[in-house]
Amino acid sequence: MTIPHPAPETGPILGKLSLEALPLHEPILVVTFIGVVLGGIAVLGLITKFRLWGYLWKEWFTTVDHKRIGIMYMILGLIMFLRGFADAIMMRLQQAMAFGGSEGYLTPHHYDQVFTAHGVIMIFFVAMPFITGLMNYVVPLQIGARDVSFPFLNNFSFWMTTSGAVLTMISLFVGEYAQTGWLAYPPLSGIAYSPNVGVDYYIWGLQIAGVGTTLSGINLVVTILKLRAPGMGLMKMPVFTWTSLCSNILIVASFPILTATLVLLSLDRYVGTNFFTNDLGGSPMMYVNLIWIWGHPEVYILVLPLFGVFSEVTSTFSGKRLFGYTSMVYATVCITILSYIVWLHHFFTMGSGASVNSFFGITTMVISIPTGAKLFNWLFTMYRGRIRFELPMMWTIAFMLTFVIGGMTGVLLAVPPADFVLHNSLFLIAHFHNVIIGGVLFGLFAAINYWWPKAFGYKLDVFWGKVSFWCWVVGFWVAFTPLYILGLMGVTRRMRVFDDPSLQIWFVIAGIGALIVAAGIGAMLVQFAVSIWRRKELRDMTGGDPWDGRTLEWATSSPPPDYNFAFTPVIHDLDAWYDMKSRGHQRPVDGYRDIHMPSNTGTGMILSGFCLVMGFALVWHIWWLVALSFVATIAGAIYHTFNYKRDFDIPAATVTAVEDARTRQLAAGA
Amino acid sequence: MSAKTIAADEPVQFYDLDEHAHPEGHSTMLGFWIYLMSDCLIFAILFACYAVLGGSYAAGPAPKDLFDLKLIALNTAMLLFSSITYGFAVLQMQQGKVKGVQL
Repeated sequence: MTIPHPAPETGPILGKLSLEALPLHEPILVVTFIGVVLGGIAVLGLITKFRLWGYLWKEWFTTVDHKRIGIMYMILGLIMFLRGFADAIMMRLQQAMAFGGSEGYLTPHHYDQVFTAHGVIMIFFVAMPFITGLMNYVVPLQIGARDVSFPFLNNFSFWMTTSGAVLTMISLFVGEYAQTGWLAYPPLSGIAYSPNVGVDYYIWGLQIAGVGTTLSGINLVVTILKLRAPGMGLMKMPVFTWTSLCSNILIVASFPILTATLVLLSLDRYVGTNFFTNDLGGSPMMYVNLIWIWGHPEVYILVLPLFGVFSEVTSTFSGKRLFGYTSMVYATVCITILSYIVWLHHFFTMGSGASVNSFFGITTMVISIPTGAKLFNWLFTMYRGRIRFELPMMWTIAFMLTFVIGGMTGVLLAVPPADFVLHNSLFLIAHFHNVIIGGVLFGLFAAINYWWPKAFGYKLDVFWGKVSFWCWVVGFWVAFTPLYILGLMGVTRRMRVFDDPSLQIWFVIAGIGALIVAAGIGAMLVQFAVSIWRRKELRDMTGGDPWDGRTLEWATSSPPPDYNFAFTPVIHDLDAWYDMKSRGHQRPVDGYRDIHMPSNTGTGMILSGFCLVMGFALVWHIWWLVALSFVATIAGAIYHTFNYKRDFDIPAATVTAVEDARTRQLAAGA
Repeated sequence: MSAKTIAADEPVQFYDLDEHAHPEGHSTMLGFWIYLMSDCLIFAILFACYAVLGGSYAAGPAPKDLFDLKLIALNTAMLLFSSITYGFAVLQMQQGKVKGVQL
């Protein structure tokens, strides 16, 4: 095998870094770079012009408020989503063009980076920030808490995730990204076949972001277990809080596996060990096993919180208590446990024999039982309910239809003999996009439409929301049905050019579908812009409860004050806020006290900045900078432990002023 | 699941009007235990790798040829002994016994 790009020389000052690392010969990247630079200058210029730096630093970057950190996570996810989607459009265009001797417009070197980056970004830097942001925002409100258990850690986690994303984005313009597929299987990702920095960017981007994910997982588990309002036993928690708890337990129990696996891969690449190499006793399949022991729980980490969202939305917009709350909780816990004993279904073709394959095939099929129980619970909640077809409910129904089909194709793939035929085919691609887009993304859109009024105090525009909804749903099916068909015909994934001209029509249709989805994304951005523009008209006049909600987050104002609840609510029943409303709840209007809150700190951002530098230096083998930034990180962390000004009290007078304003607003609205 | 059901018209307390001190110590302990558990998982993976790959050498020297296990055993024993004495010291400290700590 020939290696197209020989490994560059290593110098003492800049390591492997040299001017040749800049992709000046790639016109697409140069144009993108110019666009990013111009856009960046425009944004920075506007921030400077309107003197927003101090505001951003004081109110957002250094904040320890779970609500603001949640919103920042969502913004990170949205930005990275646009990047990941640009990759998707590029792939669809390439595959629609590259027929009949045409090479398309992407070189193999570039195309392989595009599909790797698309997968990594969509999972780690889109889906993960979105769900983490959502859980961060909603969970403390739903359990009646003032903040998460470790507010500083929360800020630090966010910035570590951002650092990982930034490192991944740097690879676009300095050097290259991995050309290995999103899980970087060795031996391809080993030093012998990937001698350049692409895989190193992959490793360090994920390691840095992984620290953030693990810590935020610990944070939310402790928050849910320790900070629930009085009276809220585990079986009185809202379903979204339950699914978040399970999801975060999965994070804590699976991300260390990813960390350890990537450490071993780094050892192979940096110091020449042979854990995953082909020769000298290494075992590449060991890596594949380990990465999927993390990877399968990961897909449930992504989808479980959204199952919670669908439960909240279905119950709220059907005007009924959720059908089968207890079975919903047990189904969630079953899925959590089962997700650890199915990993081998990702590589039935490894050759582990009929017994092992049967075991994993059966466990995989068993997972569809609790999932099916959930679906029936949602349907029975809707049955004889007074359903309001608002945007969140529309997304939920689209989810049910789409996800059921995605789930059933998954059960097809769980049959080992069928999987031998369909392994690594476009059928698989269509399946997991079907469950991730239909489950995770539709759920996120439901959640954004549902909780936006809580976060900002006004609803999202309905017209553009519907445009976006229909473009997304139709576009999704136009884009992925052809992939199911192609997969059944045996077309494998990650192909850059095709020989058989009869296949082209399907790729063209899929490309059209991707364009319709692009229109859906555009409509969603328009929806946000229009809603912000018309925020006075769209204002929620109910004083914080626009959907006639059932859980505690609707009990406070929109947006909630820094301290969330002036008085901690006492919980007597499931659907606590609905219970309070039906018991003729009166909001207390005096007797406020000082509220103890954590202080903002810039340490999280600074430490993550050091880690970013360290990651970059590790990628390029700039050892002096690695040492320097490592020492700086440790020193910064130690310095922060001597920071005793970690909390303050919001004086009762301020609380009174804020709450009196709300009292007047409620009186005006009523 | 719910221990007792409250009748719909029974008057209840909606808010906890007293401001409580935050029991942060408990959360920190729990958080740290969970963090330790996640660290254990990293080591579990490393042990699993050792179990699977430990016997695979190509032509190179096996661990027996390279390491002197007697010295390593002594090192490990000393390390563990220092940990356990620290543990005893902390226990004594929590009970406020200065002499126990110094011992």
